[in-house]
Amino acid sequence: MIVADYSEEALQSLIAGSGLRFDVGPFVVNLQSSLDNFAADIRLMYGTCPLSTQSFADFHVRLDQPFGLRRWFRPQTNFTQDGRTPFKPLPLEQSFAMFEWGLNWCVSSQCHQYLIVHAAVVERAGLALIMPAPPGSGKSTLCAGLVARGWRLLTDELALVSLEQPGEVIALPRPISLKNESIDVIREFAPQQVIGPIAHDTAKGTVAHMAAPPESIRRGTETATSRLLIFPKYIPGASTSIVPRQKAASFMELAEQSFNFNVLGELGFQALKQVLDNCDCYDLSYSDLDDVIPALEQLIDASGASPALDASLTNSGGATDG
Amino acid sequence: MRASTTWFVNPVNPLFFAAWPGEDAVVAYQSTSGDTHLISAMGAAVLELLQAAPLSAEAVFKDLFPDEEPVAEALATLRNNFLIHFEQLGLIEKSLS
Repeated sequence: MIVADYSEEALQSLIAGSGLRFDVGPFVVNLQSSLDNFAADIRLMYGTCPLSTQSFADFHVRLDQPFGLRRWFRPQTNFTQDGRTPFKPLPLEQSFAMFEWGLNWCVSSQCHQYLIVHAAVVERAGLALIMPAPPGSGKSTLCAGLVARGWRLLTDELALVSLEQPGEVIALPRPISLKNESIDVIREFAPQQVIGPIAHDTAKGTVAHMAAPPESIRRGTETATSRLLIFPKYIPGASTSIVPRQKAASFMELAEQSFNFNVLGELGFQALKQVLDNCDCYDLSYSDLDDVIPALEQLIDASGASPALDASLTNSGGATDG
Repeated sequence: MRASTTWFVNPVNPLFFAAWPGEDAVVAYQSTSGDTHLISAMGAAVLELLQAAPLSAEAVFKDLFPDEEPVAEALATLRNNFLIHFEQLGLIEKSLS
């Protein structure tokens, strides 16, 4: 069964009661909320996620309106996980965005069974394209564009690098966060994609999420082998430019973008090193999705045929371990 | 008798390296501190020698440049640009004997 098998009314009742328990990649989320109509957002954005068959949940999360004046005057939402409230409340209209940010926090702060990197990951023919980038770089727009053109979404935000399967990336197919102009860019580029509620005046500006495609969710337990590491940069009016960059410098950037590289110690170092062993690295600047997507398709298809991948995968010891 | 200085990577603070063919920089990772450094290939070669065994500056130089004489200027460069710098980063230590 999937989440959308419930009617909106049944879902609302479940969320208001014992909770909706569903699978997101390797995690089980138990969601409870007393908010009116929150079920509609969840059904729209997570409708194709499998209902969990597990008796436990990795994250028990709640969204509720705070008590007091804020229930009525400029109403707000609180995010709670296992009784903890890690954030200040946000305006009620930002509830779905808060759920997303809260879930990001749950994963990035607690799931140290993976090396977690702030990066989008998409897959084509079993090979993962990893895109770490700071906010404003156009990472999520490019990720959404690639997914709309048939690439499988592994994640838009939190790349889970396996510590047990060297170089493999775990899927965490959740909605893609779009900000400001990117929302209309994707609406125009891929009108068939589902865009969720708009949250205005957030700390990140206007935010909306694009639902993960059902196929990406259906394949949510499949890993992908890291193969391309791209550092994207959206530059208005720029033609597509893909320039090779060194792996060692890329390693440093990736470590910088990791949430738990230092927590994991040598395990994290070896996991990241394997990713770099597998990946060709590039700086990418772009402004036109119709131009950049075929270029990336060509790049990953060519890299799949490259002997470098076979060599790196059979040489997990790497180049110069000390 | 003049004391000689030997340099070494403390075994309790081991270093791990990541390097790739054709690149002039190497990642050095110290697991006990979690510090990660981007260093030159020459610097990595020095650290790998000192991780294998404690060595004097002269011995490091001879290992890296077996055909060269360890003249004072070259040794000073090795000390100032590599050994002292790495010591300040906590990657190596020294002892007097």
